[in-house]
Amino acid sequence: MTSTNPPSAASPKILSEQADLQAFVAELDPVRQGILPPRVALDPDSADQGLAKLVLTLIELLRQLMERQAVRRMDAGSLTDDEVERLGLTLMKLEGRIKELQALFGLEEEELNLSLGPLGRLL
Amino acid sequence: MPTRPPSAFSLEQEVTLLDLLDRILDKGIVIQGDVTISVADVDLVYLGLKAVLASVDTVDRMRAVYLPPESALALKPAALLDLV
Amino acid sequence: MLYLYAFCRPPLPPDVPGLHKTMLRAIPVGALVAAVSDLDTPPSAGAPHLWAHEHAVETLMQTRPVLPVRFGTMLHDAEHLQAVTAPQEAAMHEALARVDGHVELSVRALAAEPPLPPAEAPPRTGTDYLRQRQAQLSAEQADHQQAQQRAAALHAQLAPLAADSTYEARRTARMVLTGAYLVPADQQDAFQDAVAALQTQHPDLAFLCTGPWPPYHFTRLALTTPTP
Repeated sequence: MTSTNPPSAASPKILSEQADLQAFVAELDPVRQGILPPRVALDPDSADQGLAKLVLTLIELLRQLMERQAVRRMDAGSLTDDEVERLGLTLMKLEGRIKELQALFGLEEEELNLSLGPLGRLL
Repeated sequence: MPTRPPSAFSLEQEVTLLDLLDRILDKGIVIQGDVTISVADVDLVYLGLKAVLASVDTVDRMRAVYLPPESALALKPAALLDLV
Repeated sequence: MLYLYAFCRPPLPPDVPGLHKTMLRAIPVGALVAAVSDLDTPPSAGAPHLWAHEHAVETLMQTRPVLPVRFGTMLHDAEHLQAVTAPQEAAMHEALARVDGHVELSVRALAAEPPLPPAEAPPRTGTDYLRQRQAQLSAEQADHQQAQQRAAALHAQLAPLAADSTYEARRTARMVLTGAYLVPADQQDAFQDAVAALQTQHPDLAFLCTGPWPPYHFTRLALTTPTP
């Protein structure tokens, strides 16, 4: 056992100097949110909002997956001009519709996301 | 008793706590199986969701490999539009 | 039930406080001991509980190498503990030898707020829309690659000073590097100097170095309860 310079539980942990701690706190805060996700409170008053958030997040996830797929197909040159236009238009409308519903339920842009705990965020 | 940070955190304490969180909840020896973990209910839900997402991604890749480009429009955002 | 803090070599020092005003006690695991205390229910993950776990582990770490256990781990009883640990005893000895005399240091590098992307005209046709998305996605990808390279370059300057290390590039848009380094306890100053040198070389980044921590990132052990 050669722990020559043992840490003390009471010792300060910040070793670097002149760091902008405020900026780090702001940036690391999602870490806390991610690890300790706030429970989705499905109480009677906010049930609609909680459900809307969950459903819209999942639909937005599917929309983004399809959008990536569409861009990939466009890159590969396997879509006709007409197909590109139709796909793009539908995805664009869908995005608009999701934004409308989001506003209707009073959800912020960032709220349309799910924290996957230590695994990061959904979108 | 070791000293604990007071409830009103200074910036130093806040940063340190976030750094601690990052290690203590996510790292260290993990015991899987028939064990109670205080955040397990949360973990399980998310792991389940992650598995679903992983399979979405797999299907996505499989389709890219196995389907000829002509069937590209198998994806139908319009159907999704009906949902919302 | 048993709340688990860490594994280490015996004997456990006396009077180490744990969660909820309990005292740590030792349960032999082969030639090692598990540091546990008796709790009825799993603790909530609030700051006081997190620090109580951390302080218990750090107190042990003052006099011996430890393998910290993830917060919130509880086992039914000593038999349960034996069943979980017995198959992994050799690996635990190895891990203890690896972290002996070392501490974990954390390094994060934060970039300045990125400028807002220029506002694009709203797309009028579906084709416009997809082209814009295409440009955005490929810009994101290029950005991603650049971030990976930058993190790797920073990490490469610190890794040689550590016995073991691990890092993550761009945890968030601004967090260029999130690294953990297993540093010999008597070489923490040299490591801090290296971080300070990085800070001088990269004035556009803010570096934050914290520690010493128990070697959370370097136990590399996942113990599994055998299925009955």
